[in-house]
Amino acid sequence: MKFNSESFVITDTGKILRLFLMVGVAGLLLSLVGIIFNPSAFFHSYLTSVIFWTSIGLGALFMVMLHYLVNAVWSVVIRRVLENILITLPVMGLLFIPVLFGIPYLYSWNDNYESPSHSENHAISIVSDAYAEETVIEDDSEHEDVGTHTDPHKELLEKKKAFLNTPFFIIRTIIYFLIWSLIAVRIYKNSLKQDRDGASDANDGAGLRISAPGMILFALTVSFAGFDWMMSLDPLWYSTIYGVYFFSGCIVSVMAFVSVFSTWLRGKNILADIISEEHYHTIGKLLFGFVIFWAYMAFSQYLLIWYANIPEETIWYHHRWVGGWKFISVLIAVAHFTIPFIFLMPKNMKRNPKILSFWAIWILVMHWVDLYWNIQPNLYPDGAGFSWMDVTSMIGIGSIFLYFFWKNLSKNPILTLKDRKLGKSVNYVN
Amino acid sequence: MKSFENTLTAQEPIKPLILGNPSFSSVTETISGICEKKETPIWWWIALGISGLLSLNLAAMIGYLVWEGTGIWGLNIPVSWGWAIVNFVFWVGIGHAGTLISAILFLMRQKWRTSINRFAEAMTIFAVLCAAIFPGIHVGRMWVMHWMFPLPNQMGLWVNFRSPLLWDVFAVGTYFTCSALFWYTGLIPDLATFRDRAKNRIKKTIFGVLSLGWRGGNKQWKHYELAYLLLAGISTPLVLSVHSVVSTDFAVSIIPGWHTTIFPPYFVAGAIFSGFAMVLTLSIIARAIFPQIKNFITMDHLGKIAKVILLTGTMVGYAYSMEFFIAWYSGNDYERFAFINRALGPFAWAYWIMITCNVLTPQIFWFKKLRSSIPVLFIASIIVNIGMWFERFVIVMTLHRDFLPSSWDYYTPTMFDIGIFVGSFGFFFFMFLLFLRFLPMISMTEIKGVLPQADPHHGGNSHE
Repeated sequence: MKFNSESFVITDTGKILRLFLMVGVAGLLLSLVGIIFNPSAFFHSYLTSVIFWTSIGLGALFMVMLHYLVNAVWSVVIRRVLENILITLPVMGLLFIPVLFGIPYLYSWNDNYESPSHSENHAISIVSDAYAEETVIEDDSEHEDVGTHTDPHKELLEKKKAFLNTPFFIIRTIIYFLIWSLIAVRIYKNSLKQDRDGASDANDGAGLRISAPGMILFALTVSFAGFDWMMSLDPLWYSTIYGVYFFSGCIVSVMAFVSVFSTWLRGKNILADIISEEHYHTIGKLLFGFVIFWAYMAFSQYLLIWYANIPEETIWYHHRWVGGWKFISVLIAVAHFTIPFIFLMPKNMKRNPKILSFWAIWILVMHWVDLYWNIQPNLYPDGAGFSWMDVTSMIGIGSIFLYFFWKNLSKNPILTLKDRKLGKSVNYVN
Repeated sequence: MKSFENTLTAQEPIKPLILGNPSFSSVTETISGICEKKETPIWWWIALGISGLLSLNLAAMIGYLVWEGTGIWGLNIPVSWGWAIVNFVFWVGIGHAGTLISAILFLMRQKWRTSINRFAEAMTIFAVLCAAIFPGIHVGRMWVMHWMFPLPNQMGLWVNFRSPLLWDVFAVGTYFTCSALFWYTGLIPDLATFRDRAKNRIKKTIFGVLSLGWRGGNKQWKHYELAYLLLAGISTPLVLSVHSVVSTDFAVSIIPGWHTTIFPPYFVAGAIFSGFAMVLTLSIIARAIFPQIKNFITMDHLGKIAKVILLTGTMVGYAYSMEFFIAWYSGNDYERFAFINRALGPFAWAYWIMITCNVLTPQIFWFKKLRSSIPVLFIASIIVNIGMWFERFVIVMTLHRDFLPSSWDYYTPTMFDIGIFVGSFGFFFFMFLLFLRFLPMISMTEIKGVLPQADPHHGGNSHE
């Protein structure tokens, strides 16, 4: 890998790209082996991983749109990096296709649902716990017609059929990725146009015109993606804040990714004098802020459900309080919020790229744990479990993600050289 | 430091925040002049008279309320929470914009805030005072109001720490204390200016005491800046926490339509939305009464406020739609009914007023032309505030059809409901007008800090 400090282009990336491609394909193939032994585990691992990497792309999409909308100055120096992250969204769309084949293994609202556990129908058993006591009483009192009442859950699912059904789920997922890809490609093209033709009012205006409606579409699609992909894993459970909760994870992860990546570039002496301490400080502040924002969402959901104590809602947390899940639940509260909150507060933690990257990696790991905690209790109802496919699919999808990220990154200057605010951004002071 | 071709350099200004290129002394003259002038604009007297009368009316009606009891309101069972809670949430919400402007925008280095932060903070304090009236009077027996606080007593009676209503007492109490401290800290240098300019002994003594011996020395400024930053840091979570706690008044219950997890952020967005609308209303009024501040609170400022209103209004719209969707998605009949009843039931008129005012009206601010028209801004800001009052009304009126159809009822306000609410507006404007006349409504020190000549690099004396 070489860096041309005149044109700001990274060249000779063949080796890195080959490596990512090989690791990526190997990771995915290895995971595919797992589908033979345990398809449920494969699809749950795959879903967790693909959402993890997609969420970074979504976070980048949000940050770039926000950049245009608020006419930000400081973020000009990282805009191209962010744009190369968001342009992976179309690829993530393709990588999401296996999930659509996995619907029968993942989503219990599906008629052909294959329960991962030994119990007859896990979809029903999830909620049955909540009603278990009630059922016992009914049995004792010798009700003849107990049989007609035993499936209130199926009745409930019937009411949601208009939304929770396989064709509509697939259509919605396609729509989400189409919208994201459309916005991403337009933003990316507009940015490259700036490189070619120079900055102009028309060019800046185009960025703004894509971002303003883009932001509204983004808010709706991300929320519904959260509902579809994760919340509907437990089809009877619902929470209005869930979409915003998913969104908050996206922002946290992209800020973490950007800090790690720019620190890595700094190590290679790329952009070291461009992305300054001041920028790391700001990235760190945003990371800190969005970690709090994430915790605010997570806590709002938890407090209200815990306090009202309605079984059909508390059941979701109940499943995350069984066996090893209890540990993960506490871990998320402590390590996704408390520890980063305390350690990211001091100024020098944010201004030192290496220390910031440490916390960024920490937060990325916790972001994965958060997704895992949201998705996998369905697979392991008796306590936290782990599969080797969690690792292989993370590495596989991650490497493919990085492959496309690098591929695009090395095609164009790594800095938006023609941006009118570039000079101001480079000399930005907090 | 690198420099790039075809790009703005670090020193190049984007747009001046303050128009008319004033000097430091002309800033002081203009802003102090408003308070020092002998003659007061006639509009100020008229407005003060009207709002003073309304405040008197408020006092009288509260007196009657204490005498007669809460039966003079339109309360009934099942609507046992009426306008008092609606007004409380409304007023607390208004306050949020002030804190957002003074604390969060400060931390985000948004320098345009300097023109509006002082009076926005004043607005916060007066709005919280108005809000505080309602929990006090709605208990009916005002003489035991102190029972809201956890005071030791012989009977060993304690407040219920598990009740969100008690959390309110702490949240709003903290909020008021921090906002007042923040506001006052920011005022000190300006009060010292008033002291130094005072022509008579009484004024000199009053401002001398209030400015706490401010000399403007280097060390004092250092401490001041640190205190200001810390208070901004402390106030920032308050912007989120106060209205989140207020939202739990509803959301921790198990009433369909109230118990929904999006309530905390949704209430915060709504609070900022209504608060910014009020800031807009007040800045337009202040600009009309005192035209000399038009160079400080420019059209650019009003346009930015309009953009925040557009953003938060759309966020509120998002929350409405999520609530509606999840109510359907839940499959819960009661949940579904609560929302269908809101949109189509006896209070549908209120629901559609809410949607029109809060979601549709702000959309006009997509257009720059409408963002830069004073009449449009003024009318829209009032519509938004009407809408936000109705939002709380719609939420509270969820009560009118409870689980027992035989007890379903309708809520009709009495003249006392209306009189007390209008009276709280009178009190708010009364206080605000006094503030405009006697204290610097724009922070002189902070305005000077954003003038081009305050920049050490100003005039090409770059230190690079």
